[in-house]
Amino acid sequence: MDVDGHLAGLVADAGRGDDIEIVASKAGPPSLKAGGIALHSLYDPVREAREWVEHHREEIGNASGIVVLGFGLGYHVAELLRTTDNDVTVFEPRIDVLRAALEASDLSGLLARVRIVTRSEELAPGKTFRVLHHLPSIRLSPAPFANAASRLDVLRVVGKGLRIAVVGPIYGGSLPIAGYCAAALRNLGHEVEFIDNSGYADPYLSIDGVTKSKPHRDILRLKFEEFASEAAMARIVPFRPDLVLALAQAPLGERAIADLREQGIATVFWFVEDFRHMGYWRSVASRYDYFFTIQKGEFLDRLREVGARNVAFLPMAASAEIHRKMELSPEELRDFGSDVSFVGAGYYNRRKMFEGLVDLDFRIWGNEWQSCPALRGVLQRDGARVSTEESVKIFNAARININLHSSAYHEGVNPHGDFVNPRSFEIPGCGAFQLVDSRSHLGDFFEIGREVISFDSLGDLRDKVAHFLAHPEERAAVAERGRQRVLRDHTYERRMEAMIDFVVRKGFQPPWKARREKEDPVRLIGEAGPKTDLGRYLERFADARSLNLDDVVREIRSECGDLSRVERIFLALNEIGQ
Amino acid sequence: MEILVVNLTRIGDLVQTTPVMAGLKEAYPGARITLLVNAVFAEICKDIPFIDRLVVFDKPAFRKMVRGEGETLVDSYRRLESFIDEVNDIAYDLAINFTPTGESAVLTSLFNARETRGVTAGAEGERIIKHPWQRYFMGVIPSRNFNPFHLCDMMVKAGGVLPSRKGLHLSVSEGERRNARAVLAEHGVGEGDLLVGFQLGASHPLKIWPVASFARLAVRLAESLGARVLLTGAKSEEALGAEFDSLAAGKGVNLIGKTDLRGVAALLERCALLVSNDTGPLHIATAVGTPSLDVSLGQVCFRETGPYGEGHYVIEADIPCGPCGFHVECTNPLCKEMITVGSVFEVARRILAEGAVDDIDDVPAWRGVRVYRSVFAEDGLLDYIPLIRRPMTRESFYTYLYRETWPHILDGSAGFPVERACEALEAKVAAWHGKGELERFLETIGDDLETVRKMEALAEEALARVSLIAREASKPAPDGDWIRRTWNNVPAIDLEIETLGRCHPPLKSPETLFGFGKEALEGKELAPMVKSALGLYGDRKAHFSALAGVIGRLLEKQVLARRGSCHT
Repeated sequence: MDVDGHLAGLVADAGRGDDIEIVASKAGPPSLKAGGIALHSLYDPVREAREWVEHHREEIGNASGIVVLGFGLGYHVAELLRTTDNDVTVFEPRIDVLRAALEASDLSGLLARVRIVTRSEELAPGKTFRVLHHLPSIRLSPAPFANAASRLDVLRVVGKGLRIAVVGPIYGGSLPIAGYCAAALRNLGHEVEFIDNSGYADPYLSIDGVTKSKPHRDILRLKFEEFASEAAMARIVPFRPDLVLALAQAPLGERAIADLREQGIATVFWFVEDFRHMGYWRSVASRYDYFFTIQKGEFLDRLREVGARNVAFLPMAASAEIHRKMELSPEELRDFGSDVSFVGAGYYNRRKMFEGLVDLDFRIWGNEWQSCPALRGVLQRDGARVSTEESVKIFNAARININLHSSAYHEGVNPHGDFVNPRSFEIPGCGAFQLVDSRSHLGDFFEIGREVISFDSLGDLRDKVAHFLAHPEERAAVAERGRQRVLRDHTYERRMEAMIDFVVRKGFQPPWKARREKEDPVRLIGEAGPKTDLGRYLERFADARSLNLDDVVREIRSECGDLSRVERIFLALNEIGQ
Repeated sequence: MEILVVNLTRIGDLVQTTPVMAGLKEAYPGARITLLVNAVFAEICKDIPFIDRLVVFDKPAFRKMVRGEGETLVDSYRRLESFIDEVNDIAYDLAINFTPTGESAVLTSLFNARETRGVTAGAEGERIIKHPWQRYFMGVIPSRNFNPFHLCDMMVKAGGVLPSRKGLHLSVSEGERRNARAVLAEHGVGEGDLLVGFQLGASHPLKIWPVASFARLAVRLAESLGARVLLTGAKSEEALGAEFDSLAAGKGVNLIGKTDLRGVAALLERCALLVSNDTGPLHIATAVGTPSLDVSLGQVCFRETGPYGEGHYVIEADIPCGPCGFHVECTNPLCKEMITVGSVFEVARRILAEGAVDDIDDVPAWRGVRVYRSVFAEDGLLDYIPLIRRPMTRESFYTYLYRETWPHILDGSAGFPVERACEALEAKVAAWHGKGELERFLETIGDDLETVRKMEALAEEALARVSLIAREASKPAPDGDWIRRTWNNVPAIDLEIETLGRCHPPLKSPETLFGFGKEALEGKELAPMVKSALGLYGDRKAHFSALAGVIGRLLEKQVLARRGSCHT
């Protein structure tokens, strides 16, 4: 049987369902019973499929893409393919059902034309699509189908993509994350404007040198943040976003956020900070429509208490483009490599714990370690900051990367640590091996022991360092499994999808949706009449995402030669609008 | 004959297009004129005598539509297309567009006309300016100095129709007249009362004489002459009216924002005089035959846009920075202070009392201002006569000189009559500045003659090369390499002339027009380009020759006269 590799792998791994039974129908072809439900007619499944297609004929005719919820043995899908040339995606969460289908008949012809998806997050049916339901399959497993239907609703709202402004901080840890978010949103097909505020870092930081008086410094910072907020708005407003995503410490003031909300623009904040360490969420949370956190439980309750409306957990991630496996040169391996390595700032708990590793081939990279004489021998480059690019090389070069979440008062591992830091995803993203301190959330992201190894104390850490240095093959296996997991579940693309999913499920409608529908080139060509002069002229824009007068004028100006009447009328319209 | 006149500008410009329409009606008896006009001015077109058909362009509605408020791109397109079709209900023999905007150029190119004058768009959408006078208007006016021509005259010249009925044209209906009388009566203005109109607003703050000055003027007119003051203007000018009322309580009949344009025309017709900033109502008053006194400020260059008709007046500040350059945002508009209430009052008083002002003695009270009266010259174009006789400035001399040379060049006439131009200049300077004034002035411009001769020689050299190129280009198989080699030195010559012009601003205008025309040459096919180039290079050379001829001859005559006086 010739099926695509991914599906073959899934099916091969799946067990044979206990409640699944292939039965012969009265007419001859096999039917399927699962969980006591007949997924196809026990009399004539082929005729039933024909009737199913007939019933949906109108919807099939109007759609450019079709999603079928439920595969069963695929009779209805095969019949559907006889009546349409459009793209067909089938969602079937029951892998055991798929296996039974593959065993029951030769589906190779059918599988060559359809895309089969088993996880709702993989549903991506393209621009416009219709959903057809195979009701017996849905009755068999209602929950995943409900999830898929909800996902399709989200995709329908999002359409060809949203316009999203991503607002970064002036400086700090969330700055690169803002960039990763912007890139991921672009990869997902959204139009993105990155409001990069890092250009203000030097003047902002210079405030510290102006005065020693804290009240004065606070006033100056406030004034600066007001300026940066207005400057951000000056860039956001003309972009006409559907949604504004502000990363932690983004300089958007209260009034700016209120103005955006008033225009129906969704305001989203991703608080990629430890709420116990940074308390400004108390004043910020209620301003935004949607507030995402990297911590769960108690924090979510407290956010609701301060008036946050829509709160959701959105963990950190890695950037597949940045945090990648690299081939390093011998020089780079020499410069960045060691048995054991750590990249990060010298928080109290790290300084304390790492003193216990100085007898190893251990290198510490990063700043704020100067006050630590015991670590002088292992500190690299005199405690200079490490760029993202360098940290990726270090992760790739070290045999073992230590990841110890920061704490300002624990002596080593924080026994109550919950959230998982970016490094937890970035190191495996690089295909590198990490030993990470135990965190209560860690098991939600990785299979501990298989995809990641954790430690609880210095002693535990030293034992595991020794073990994994001695067993490079184990190290490599854990690292690779970790990498696969990150690529599948923990990229910024997945996070941004989850974010938009949440926002849309909470009822968000893009404010400029009507406008964008108005700018759909295919619709405009239809409106003009494809056989008119105007329709024929607009045909050249058929594949564009959207079409407005500026696009037409740009096209006209980019071409040489005599203008047609249609082009002249467009130029006149443009002049009138000036 | 069917004629389409496109006018998509403001009210003042619309009224100033009436001489062209008058000229068209004279030149083409029986012709029917279709006027394309902005919707907001449709009403007053009923009072323009030459219009046979009116097509209204609702620009704000189109603009709103284009900016995507509610309509799709296809909707917008179809609406504009059907508007164009409506205009094209008639096949035109001639379309005239003097609106120098991209919008009107492209639209004009979409109208069905056998011939187009003014501004339109070419095959590739490029702007085409159809007449040398139109090129002058669009190319030279932006540099402003030394321009002697009124906008209306540039338009009638570019339209090729100089009317015998001079001035602007609006005919007030009896109904509007009755309404005006009734409104004035309501405000206690009787038939025999002396009424002076004030137009307080203008399109730019720099063009506005202070309301406080208008208020003081109203008080003086009331006290000295018993005059009542009438305020007209648009709704947007109501604040100015309120300020006036607070400063000159009871002196003005404030009808700002309360009348439409036809009503304004009837009210202004009833006035004995309009004192106005340079704006639409000034031209309406002129058109209905009411004498006007234009307070010319800021960017306003009255020679271009002052009252167009016989017997109107202009007062402007005698200030070296005036008129402001375009795009200048002056923060110290001294010109507004220099035009004192006393001087405006005195001119107004004399117009009202004496009917006309012929001259003003140059006593200290007039220091800081210049006063002019409009008159049509023998060639049918408008002149402004300075009423205070003062020594001639260099600027005035060149303005008078260009008044002689430009018409000759722009009309494409052959053989510049140097002698006649010298005589005209001599007469003008003697009449307007006094006998002996030209002689005094000529003592100071020996260097200019040298420069203009240098420019003439360079222009001749460039022309000679372009002529050779034209001859080669007209061959069946022109030698491209030879053309390129011959052309090689020309840009350097052009640059040298341009540099001389920059260093001698009064002599720059011919080069400015040349440069404007040359820009339009780029990117065309060789043969038509060479033909146009030949015209441009030829005109430039002819113009420098004319300037050199007049200056040289004037100096020569002076030398001869001195020698003559020595012998006697």
